[in-house]
Amino acid sequence: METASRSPVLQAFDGGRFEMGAVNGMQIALTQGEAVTAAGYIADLSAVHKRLFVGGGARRFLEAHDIEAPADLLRWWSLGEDGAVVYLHHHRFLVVAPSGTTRPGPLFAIAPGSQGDTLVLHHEAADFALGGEAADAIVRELCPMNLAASSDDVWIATQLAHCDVAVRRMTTDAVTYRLMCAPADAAFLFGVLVEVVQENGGTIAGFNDYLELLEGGASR
Amino acid sequence: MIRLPPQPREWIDRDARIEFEFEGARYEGFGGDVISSALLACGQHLLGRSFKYHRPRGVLSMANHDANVLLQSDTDTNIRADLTPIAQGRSYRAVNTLGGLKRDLTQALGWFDRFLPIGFYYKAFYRPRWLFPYWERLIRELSGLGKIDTTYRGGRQSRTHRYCEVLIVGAGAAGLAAAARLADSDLDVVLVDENRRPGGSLDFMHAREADAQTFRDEALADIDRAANIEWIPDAFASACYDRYTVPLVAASGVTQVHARAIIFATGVIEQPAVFRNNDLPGIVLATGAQRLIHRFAVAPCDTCVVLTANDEGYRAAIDFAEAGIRVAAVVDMQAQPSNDDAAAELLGRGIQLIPAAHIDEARGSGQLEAVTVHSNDAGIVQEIACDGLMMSVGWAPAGSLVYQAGGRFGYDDALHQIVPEATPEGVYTTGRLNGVFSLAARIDDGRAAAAEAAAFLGRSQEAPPRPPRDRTPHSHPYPLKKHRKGDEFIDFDEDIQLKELDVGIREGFDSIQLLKRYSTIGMGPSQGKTSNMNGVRFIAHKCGRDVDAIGVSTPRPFYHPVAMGALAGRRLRREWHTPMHESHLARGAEMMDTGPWRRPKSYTAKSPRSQIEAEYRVVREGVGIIDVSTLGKIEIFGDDAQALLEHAYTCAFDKLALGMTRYIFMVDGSGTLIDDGVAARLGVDHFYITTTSTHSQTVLRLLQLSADQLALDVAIIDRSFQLAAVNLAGPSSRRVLGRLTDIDLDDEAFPYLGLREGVVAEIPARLLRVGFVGELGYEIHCAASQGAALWERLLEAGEPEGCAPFGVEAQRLLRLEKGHIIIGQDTDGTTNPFEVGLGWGVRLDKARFHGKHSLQILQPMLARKLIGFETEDRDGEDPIEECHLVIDGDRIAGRVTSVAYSPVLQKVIGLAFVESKLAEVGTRLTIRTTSGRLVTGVVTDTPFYDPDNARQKPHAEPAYETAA
Repeated sequence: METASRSPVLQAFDGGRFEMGAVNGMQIALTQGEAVTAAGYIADLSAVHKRLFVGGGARRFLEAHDIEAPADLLRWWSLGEDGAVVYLHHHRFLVVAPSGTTRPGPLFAIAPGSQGDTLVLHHEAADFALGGEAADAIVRELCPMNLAASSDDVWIATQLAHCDVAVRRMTTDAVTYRLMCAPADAAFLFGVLVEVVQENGGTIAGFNDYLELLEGGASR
Repeated sequence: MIRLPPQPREWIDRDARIEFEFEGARYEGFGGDVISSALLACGQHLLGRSFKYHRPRGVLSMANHDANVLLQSDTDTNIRADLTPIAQGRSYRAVNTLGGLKRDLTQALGWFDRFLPIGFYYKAFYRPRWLFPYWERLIRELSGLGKIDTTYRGGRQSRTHRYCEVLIVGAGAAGLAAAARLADSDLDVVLVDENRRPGGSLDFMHAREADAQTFRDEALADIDRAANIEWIPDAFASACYDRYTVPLVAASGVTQVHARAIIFATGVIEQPAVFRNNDLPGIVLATGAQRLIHRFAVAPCDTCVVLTANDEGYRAAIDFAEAGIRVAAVVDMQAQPSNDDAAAELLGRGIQLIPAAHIDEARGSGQLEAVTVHSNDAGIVQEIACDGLMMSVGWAPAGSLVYQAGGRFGYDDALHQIVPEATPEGVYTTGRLNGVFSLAARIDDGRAAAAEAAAFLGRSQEAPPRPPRDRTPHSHPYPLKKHRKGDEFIDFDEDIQLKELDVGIREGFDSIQLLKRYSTIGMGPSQGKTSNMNGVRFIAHKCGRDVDAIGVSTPRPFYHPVAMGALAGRRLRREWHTPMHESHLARGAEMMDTGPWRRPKSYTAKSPRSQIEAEYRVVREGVGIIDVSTLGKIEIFGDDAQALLEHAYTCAFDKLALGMTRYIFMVDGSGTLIDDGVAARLGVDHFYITTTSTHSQTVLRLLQLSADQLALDVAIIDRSFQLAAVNLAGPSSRRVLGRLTDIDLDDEAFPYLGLREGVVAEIPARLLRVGFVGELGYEIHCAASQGAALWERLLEAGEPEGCAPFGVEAQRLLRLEKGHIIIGQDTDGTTNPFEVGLGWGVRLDKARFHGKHSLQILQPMLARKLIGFETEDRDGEDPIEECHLVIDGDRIAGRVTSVAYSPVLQKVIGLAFVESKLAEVGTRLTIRTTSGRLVTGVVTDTPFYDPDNARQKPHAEPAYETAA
């Protein structure tokens, strides 16, 4: 059978222009075949592995797997490249695998379900990367919050185009926003983002296009 | 042509010639001309008609302070001609005319002004009543300004946000001084002005003053050089929200500026004098005339009279003479000139000065031809021929945004001007708005405001002292002269005359707030910029009170009118899609809104009843599938998981076995039903619950509140968007499902209300055997990203049985036959469980649960009940519909909540709330339809269909094939 899992914005990609394929078992757009413009890009990274660890023992559980989580709520620490561990809520942690990793390690091999006093859940979210020179301007069009003023380790819960989103702003070399939203909001939000990115001279990028940018160090 | 020779600061490009049309005639202007300046340069003084009496109108302020000249083009309406640059080949015409500007037939309305007094629409037209629709149509036809072309699709305007530390509103002398002071600081500064060039009055009132121009050039050089200052021209600050948020409106759209401190250098607005025929074309505010001369090199007239009450009027008169306009006289409303030097210079130029005098009347046919000057003391009346009257009699603060920011204003008796008395932290006012008029003082005031703002933001700035307010008045305390023949216009937008305000006050509307609403003064497009101050002065004068005691009406957003397109911005109508959305569309579904969700109503356009019945029959006779991903889905995990559910829901969970589900419902603190769903036990301390599609967030909030209040050790995880869900239902559902899973579907292994986890079509899934539609069925939940694949594979597997999707309409019919209620449709904002037959699910013997106390009180007070009814009536034209009333004698005794024709029962069935005395089975009900027809129904037991739930058991169904 064909891969069962599909990106929530799969239909937004023109199959004729994009090379489609599977990443981590999810059908997704891989590459658009053209260079990503410096002005801006929006890429769909929904295939990146994400796990939610919930319960009184969640922090201990992560520590047992060599992952130290932030002590402060709504902060994230890097797990290398663009991977992250986020302290979301009381006894609740989100682990996002680095997008370039196809074998994200034993933590992601754990089957969802109860693990003693920790509940492990596969976290489904639309996950986008928004980068390029116009990234801050694009976000300013859609979000009333001054995201550009936030420090890099803050996990921001806000709204973009009236959709609830979680935002990470990364500024290693250039500004990149990682935006996560509910799959139900994904088609609408991605459509708006594509529209604004294109108005600002940017392009839609595939998953592998983003990885290339990441490897090039142009936009981390 | 009355175009002047090049002016030092002119805005026009004489090398760029632009042709355009006005009222069907061709005109030519220069690049940089606005429509009004280009027309005046061609000798066209009649530019518009007034709103009510269609009186001829020309320019007044040449700023955005009046609405005398509103135009219509092929694509846009209510174009402000004083501000809008001419465009090559564009065609304009005046708004609000019948038969063109010159011959406007509706100017005849002016003859009937005695029949159209203040508030006439409150006093007339309501008798005889049968005539009212005629009057309504007529008034609607005659009123309004421009006409909107609803077929025109203009470009979308942008909306964006800008964050800064200091926002300076106004780039006149004080604003420029403030910005220059902050240049090269570490503060992020935004300087905005509604004009396309910075400078404000420096460009026209001080255009011939060398020191003013030196300051302007130096300040601009500082600002240009500074990397920390963003200059935004051609955008107006439309409002001030939450003290520090100011939307800037430009032609391209709206930028919401979020500042940490704001300096308002918004200046003052010149006020007209009020006398008979003061609205004739040719009567212009002095600053309006100076704008024409210095920005556009247009002489507003050949011969003018200057009416003044301040220093600025004298200086303006010299300015006009310098521009080559013949100044016939300067009429000073004060006994002594406010500027002796200027007065001497005027006399030296041979210009007549008439002190202690006022204009009694302006004369002219469609344009000013002469004014009658009345000397206050001597009683001498003289007529002076002129084609221009320039008024410089006073100012009103442009303080609307300061009010909105929380500032307080008071009346300065020495200055005869309203000035700021206090502003909130981080909000500063400066310049003429503060009552500081000399150029040097305005510059000092701007620098001081900047230093104060910087200090407020923690920058060490030594704030220089603020210059004192002027003690010499720049405004006349009462520049209004009533005339026995009337036509003294105090509000040009609404054609309001002094006599009308007089009537209003005599009728008891003697406060500014009441009189504003009764007379509509200040309610036109210019929002009282040139009328409110005179209105306040008039009320104070008539009532013998101080101006301060009268106050001003509340200045609300927006400061200038804002186009609806700018407010709308980008279309951002959020809608939630399930993972199967594309598949629904591909199958031709008609989608409907369920809260923010989009769901298939049925799988054909316009959902005809035949299609809904076809989808219904698939479920009753074979197998159907519905997307129920919209259900709320919540995971409850932790030692206190059961304690939380016991507190949040009315039922008991102690007997809910592992791997089993039960129906649950929730009430609020008043005992009102707010949600229902299913709870499943996954472990001793692990539950999975579903909620209705639109109430998941309410349930989550209530669960979290309960957990916090009781300090429970529990995690509440919203999985609503994480998981997709489908309901596979019908007698053949087990057979279809069996092809795709190795879960034992045998009735004993997987009983009704059971829950199992496993794999369906190679997709990890959670299965709940529940039956909302009253057939054997399975709710299958899986990861959202796999929902579409699950959906398609189930449909494919069910092809031999004719498996097809069914929509919300078919589901509603199916559940109605089973008598299942829908929260929000069969309940309202006061429904408790006892009224809808859910008393069996309320465990009042539990120690506590949310809403228990209210339910204890409500249980014995059963005034109404939800009952089932049936009727043989099937009038296709006038059917019973939801919300139709149940009538008992001459009283309303209830209402229908759900109704439909049942294909299996072949009769109309429904649910209705009725008074308890009508709830007995067999009672005959009278239901009134839309047309008033009375239909008889009979109260019946529910469920209407399969009361023993036999259909939900698989015994009648053939053996199924397993995936194994």
